[in-house]
Amino acid sequence: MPITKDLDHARDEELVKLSLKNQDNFLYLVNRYQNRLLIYIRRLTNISLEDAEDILQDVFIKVYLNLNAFKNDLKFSSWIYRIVHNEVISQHRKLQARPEGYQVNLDENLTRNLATDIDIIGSVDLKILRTNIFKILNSLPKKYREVLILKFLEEKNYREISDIIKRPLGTVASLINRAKREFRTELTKTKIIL
Amino acid sequence: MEFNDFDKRLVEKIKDKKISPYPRWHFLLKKYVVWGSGLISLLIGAAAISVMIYFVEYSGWELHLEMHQSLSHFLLLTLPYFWFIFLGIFLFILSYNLQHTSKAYRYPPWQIIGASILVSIILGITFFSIGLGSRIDDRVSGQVPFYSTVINRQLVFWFDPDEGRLVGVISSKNIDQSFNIIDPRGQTWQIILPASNTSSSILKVGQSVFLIGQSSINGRFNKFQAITIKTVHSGRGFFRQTQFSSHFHPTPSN
Repeated sequence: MPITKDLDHARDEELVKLSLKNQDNFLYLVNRYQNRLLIYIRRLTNISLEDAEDILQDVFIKVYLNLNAFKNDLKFSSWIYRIVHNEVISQHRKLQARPEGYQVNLDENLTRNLATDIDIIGSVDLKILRTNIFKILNSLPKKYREVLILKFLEEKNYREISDIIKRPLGTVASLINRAKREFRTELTKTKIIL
Repeated sequence: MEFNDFDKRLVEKIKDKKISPYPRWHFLLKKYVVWGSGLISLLIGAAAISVMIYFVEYSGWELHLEMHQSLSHFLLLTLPYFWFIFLGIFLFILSYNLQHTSKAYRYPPWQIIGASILVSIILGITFFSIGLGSRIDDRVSGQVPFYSTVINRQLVFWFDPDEGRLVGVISSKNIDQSFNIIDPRGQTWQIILPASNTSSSILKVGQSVFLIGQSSINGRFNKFQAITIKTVHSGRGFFRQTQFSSHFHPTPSN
């Protein structure tokens, strides 16, 4: 195994080059991204861990196959999130047939950030919001759900979201604004806002 | 969230199935195909625009009042619809290709379509100014059999003797200042000019002309009393097609 301690700190772009030279180095990229991508898949789809793992495996195989297509003018994390995003869309029908209801734990800080940004921090019980957040997200149209997840749960900036969902910056900004409005409306409907 | 040995199982699977990254040339080829076909579409679209400008420039639109036509009606009847459709197809291909380049998603579709149209127009004007529009039309009009019915509707518009419009190629010049033309159906017309009109002296056999005036049939001869003569530019190659060339008589006849 050519794995050395130094590669743990190597930049993603360097790891891509090294993976092309030796496939064992790909393990570093997998290690670096597997947990957060698995969470992202489950947040997007609300499927079981096993199903999410299957998707993740397909994603990494696609990443490996397309390593030569990666260019440094894009962040590697944006590129790999884009592949996940596309894979989830392409498996949409299959995913819809699966039972829903699997919940992913949400960090307290993320819930607070979301509430602050949506301007509901004073009028919502954070514990109730935390328990119901995925229920509310799932009631939103897909286009709003995915930008809210990327912005507030994956903590991506506008440029990164634009690169992941392949939409112009202006469109991303207006999608997020509309998504926040929809989210607030859903909170009012479900009487989560005090 | 942790899951057991996912990374190791994945790398094993890659090794077992002998999966290897697609080669770099695979992606470069795809990129060059997208950009290359986009560039070809841009050039073809710009060439179509240069022909359209050439058509409008030499359509005789400034004579619409003499023909008792409103300008809008005249344009409606003579616009180069074929080239519009042709341009539309290649603009679509250009926009489609640009939208499939790696950074296109950063721009709204209307900006990409707008830029495609703008660049095509600028290039089209450049092509027209270096004479490409006339060269393309000469080549097409000289070789395409359905040119007068599909590509250049101006010839149909101008060939309406009952409405005082005639088009044809000069087949011979007469001693009495009149001359003969062959119309698009292959019929001969004797063209009579008013005494004040001296343009017949500069007209040459083989040249194609638009005429405004009045037609009359005298025995088995078609006669046309012309008021205005204008040299045909767009479509002149049509009159060099073989069906007309056999009628030419370069020397004056009585």
